[in-house]
Amino acid sequence: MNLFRAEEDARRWSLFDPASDDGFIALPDLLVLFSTESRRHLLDGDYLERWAGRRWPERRDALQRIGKAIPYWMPATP
Amino acid sequence: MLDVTDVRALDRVFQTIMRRVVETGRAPHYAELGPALGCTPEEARRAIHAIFKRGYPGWLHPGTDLIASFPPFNSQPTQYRISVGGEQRWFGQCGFEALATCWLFPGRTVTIEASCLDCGDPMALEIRDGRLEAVEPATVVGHCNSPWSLLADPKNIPFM
Repeated sequence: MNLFRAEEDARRWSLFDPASDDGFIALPDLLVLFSTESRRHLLDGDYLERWAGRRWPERRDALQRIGKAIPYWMPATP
Repeated sequence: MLDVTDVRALDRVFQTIMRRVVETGRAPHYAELGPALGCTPEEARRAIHAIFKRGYPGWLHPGTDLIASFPPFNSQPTQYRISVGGEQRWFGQCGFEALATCWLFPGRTVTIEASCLDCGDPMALEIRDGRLEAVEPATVVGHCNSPWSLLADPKNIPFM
């Protein structure tokens, strides 16, 4: 998962997969995706016990909020 | 003794690793963890494997016990250089995880700098507590070159 100076740069990248059109994401949406609650508890002493298991459910919710609840982005596992 | 089947014991190991990465920019070797945790090096080694087996999305360098990636950071350098307080000491696991490093430095501005994979020209972002404070150029965009849905499978490589 990479950042590019612009979408055109990504499309010119030598390893760009033409099937990855759905893989573009705006920075504000990316921040939503990577600001879920469990992310804020990585320094908590019970992170693995309490928070780690919430990552994928939170990710699903965040994808819904940013309009990316499509197969390309949605986790396949429950 | 450190029981690697006990999630609370693994949490102690996890915190020791994460705090060491935040402090130094690199993940410790398992032999360094023993004294900090009051366990043997072998117990620390097994605990690291157990953390990843539980699904924490980092990894060891293939064929070794060396922590290469401990998200949102990478111990092995990537193009995503992370600076805090003007000091570049960290690397993001990937362009996306780089944004999440701000949660390890609450109340501080995190700067992400990288060279574009296409043209090599620089990009820079400043983030504080999940808020984008600056981005250069304004057209910076994220891209996932293979379906993100596949990344739940640890066999897939997240850099693409």
